[in-house]
Amino acid sequence: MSDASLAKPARFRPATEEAPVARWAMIAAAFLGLGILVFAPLIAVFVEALARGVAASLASLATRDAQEAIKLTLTIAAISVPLNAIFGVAAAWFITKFDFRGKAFLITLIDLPFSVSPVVAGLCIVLMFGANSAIGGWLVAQGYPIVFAMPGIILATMFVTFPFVARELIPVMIEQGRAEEEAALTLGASGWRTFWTVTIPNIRWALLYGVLLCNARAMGEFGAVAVVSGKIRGQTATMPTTIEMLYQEYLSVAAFSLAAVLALLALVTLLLKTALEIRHADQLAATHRH
Amino acid sequence: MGKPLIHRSPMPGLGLSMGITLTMLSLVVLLPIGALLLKGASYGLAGIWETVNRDRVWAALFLSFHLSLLAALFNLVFGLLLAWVLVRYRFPGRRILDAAVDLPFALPTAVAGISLTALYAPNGFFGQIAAEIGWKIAYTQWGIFIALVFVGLPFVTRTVQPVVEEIEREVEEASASLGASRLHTIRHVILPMLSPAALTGFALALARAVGEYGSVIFIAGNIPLVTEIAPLLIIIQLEEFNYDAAAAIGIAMLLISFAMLLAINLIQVWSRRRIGYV
Amino acid sequence: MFATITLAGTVTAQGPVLDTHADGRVTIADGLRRLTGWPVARAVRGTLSALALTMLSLGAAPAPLQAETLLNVSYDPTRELYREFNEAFTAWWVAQGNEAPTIEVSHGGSGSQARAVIDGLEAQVLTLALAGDIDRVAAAGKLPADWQSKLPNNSSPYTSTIVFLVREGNPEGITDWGDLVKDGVEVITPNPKTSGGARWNYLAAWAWAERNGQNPQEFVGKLFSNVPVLDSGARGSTTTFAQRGIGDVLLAWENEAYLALKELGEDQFDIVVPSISVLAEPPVALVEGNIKSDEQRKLAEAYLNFLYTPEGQALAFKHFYRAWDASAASPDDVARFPQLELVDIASFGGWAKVQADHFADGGIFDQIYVPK
Repeated sequence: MSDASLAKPARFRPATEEAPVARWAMIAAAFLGLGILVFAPLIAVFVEALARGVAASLASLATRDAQEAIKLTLTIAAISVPLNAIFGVAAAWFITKFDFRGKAFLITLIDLPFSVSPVVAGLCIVLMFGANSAIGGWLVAQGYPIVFAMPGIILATMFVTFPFVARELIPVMIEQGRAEEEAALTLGASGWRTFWTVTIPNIRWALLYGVLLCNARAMGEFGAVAVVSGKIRGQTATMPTTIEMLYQEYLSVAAFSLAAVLALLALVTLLLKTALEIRHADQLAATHRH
Repeated sequence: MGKPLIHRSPMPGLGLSMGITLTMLSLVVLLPIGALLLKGASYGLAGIWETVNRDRVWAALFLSFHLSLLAALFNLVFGLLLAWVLVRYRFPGRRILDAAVDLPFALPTAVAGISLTALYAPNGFFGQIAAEIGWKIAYTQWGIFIALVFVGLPFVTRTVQPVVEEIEREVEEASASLGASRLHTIRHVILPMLSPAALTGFALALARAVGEYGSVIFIAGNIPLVTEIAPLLIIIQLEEFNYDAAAAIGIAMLLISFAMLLAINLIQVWSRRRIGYV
Repeated sequence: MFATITLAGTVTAQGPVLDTHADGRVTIADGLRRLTGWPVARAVRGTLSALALTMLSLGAAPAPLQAETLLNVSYDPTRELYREFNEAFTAWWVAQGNEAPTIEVSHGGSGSQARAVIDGLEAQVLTLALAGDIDRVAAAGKLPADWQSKLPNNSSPYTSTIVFLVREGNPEGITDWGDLVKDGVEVITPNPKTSGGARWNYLAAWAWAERNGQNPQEFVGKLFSNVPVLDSGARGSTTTFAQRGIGDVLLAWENEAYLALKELGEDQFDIVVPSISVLAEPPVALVEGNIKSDEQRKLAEAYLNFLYTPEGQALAFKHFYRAWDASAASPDDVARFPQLELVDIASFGGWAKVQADHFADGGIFDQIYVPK
């Protein structure tokens, strides 16, 4: 390190870097912005959770309602996130590898769930599968209710997180073009082999970011799920709905403790990403330098 | 004219990827939204217009859309900066910053709303400081703006980040070696490469902000014509068991959002053609 | 014959069939106990087992299963009450020689809870804030239109009223409704459009104005122009007032006001009882359409009747509701309620009329903000 700085007088910097002043100003702005907008609310959550000591906070998490809510939320994320990831990869492949009319329209349809207020999303699902609709009425008669049961919650979660993976992959796959896949195919690789050995390595970071976002949002979704869940304690109450109920009961320690757990769960997936980054640091550096 | 619906391509997997895409899109998104539109259709265009064409609804729609636009613009600038800083620089605390970007999604919106209100209310940590200079944040449009920035924060950063990772240094080196200043390189080489992703992130942040309810409701004040957002009007109609009117406002919001997203996506497809990406 | 059944929608169990009921449900023995539920068709069994496996792999042991279940769909401020009431009822029901039932409760805004039941949430018992909300469920055909006459006191086992919560020492000197429209007094109330409780706030102010020679529409208009924050629910308003320090007076349910004193500090707030207020009668009802068996009907009826027993009434008193029968209640719980003139909904012409005149789209309340 010191050798390098000796060899290179500080005044010169590589042409592909910003001036140190600009660099530090940007880093400071990043810290300041995230500090005010994200860390402060997060700290507020932890302060509230620990207001009556660690023991009280842990005790509130040991209750059956809290445990059931955590399990339900994890189950829902475990089902809806992989499904959305499969959709995302398929949609990104379809959109970026083929030319067809109405592409912008299709992308906009995929974006549509974001522009629907979560409450309206819940309403849509109730209108579609509720006991008063044709499909829902028939399903209830068969003994498989969708709304106010697990399938409805999964559907609502998938709806609000639907575009994440696809939207993450599309810009990256556009950026990369089709040349590498075409080369692989010309050399005689099969479609699946090309996909696994050429495409997936190229998009893995974008895929990871998409899955992370999708997962965080899937676990944190409240508005749409609240409409379709029926909020039955210990049964269809997810973590966010349970947090809301606890808060309404003046059990703010319990509510914020559960909220802190939810934040920590999101961080676990991020740690996973960090671990992957460190493990593949060499490869990453290589792709950047090649 | 005579243009085929789908161009022939040597790429494999057309049937499979198209099948999965269209089936899941229909099941998860189009069918439920279709149910909403059907509800609106039974109400009739005139009914929808009558519900929407009122001062209070227009005021709420205007408030929701213009604050969402401002919040998304803020997120566009800040998100680009954040993505650049996180990928290009190495400094202590970088990983913590990186991890924090997703938190706005992980916190349930109600928790976010309660925490933000606690911080920005006149007796809160930031609210007190702002009150010193006579600036009210919570229970005004500023409060709504902050909540909307919060919920949309991850979008631009997370869509731009992977693209920044993919930028090859040679391009920048080439630009520099041809005599371009760093600023010139950023403006004319790097930003154009980032713009499809940034635009995507902007569109998503915008759409998300327009529909946001859970966090805004705590910090907004909810005074009709002043701080009443459009999603609240939908809730109000539902409380009155007025599904038709709720669907009408929902459809109005959906149409405006759809038009905005479509415009942004068309700009993208068009600029891609112009720049020469396939 | 072996069968897989589903209990309460999410949990499955397998075992030899003991009995098949007329409604299609079957009773099986899973080795430990007898379970009754809807059979799961062969085709979806695989999916469900996969789901159950996922849950198990995440460490989810199925909840303890009992023969009879009951879902009580209620509104927000009753959580503490029903938490304790369910325990007391279960103990009593078991003491009568029955199997311990599983009683589930769901809480939310009164209107949205009614909507959920209309859309298929299988509640056997409704305990909501407003009779109008249960009327909506009745209109959807889930219970008879004359449901309110089936239980004593208009099917309201307890009542409540609206009082003021002010800051310690009452610095603004607020004693009655008339003080709320003074310049500079900030009033906190939820939005009557989204909160049942706030409709009572509004009606109480209306009633006071009518009896004190003021134009009621003008009076409530002035009152709401003193409201800086309209939260969507009662709890949100309490937080705005108590924790954010906004406003001089909070209009609150009596039980919420006492709860706020208990939870947030008796030394910070005082309760002020106005000269006149409303008699809110939160009703309860049995949802005929969602009763699956005679056993369940017996359980649901016993549950509602237990609300009217001295023991059930004592619990209502304890949780700051004005109940009817004080014979088993702690005298302190009863003595806490001051006497005041209470106006019931009938004197406003009933919920249907009130809803249409005041709170519907473009009604009197909307005209406060958007003049006609």
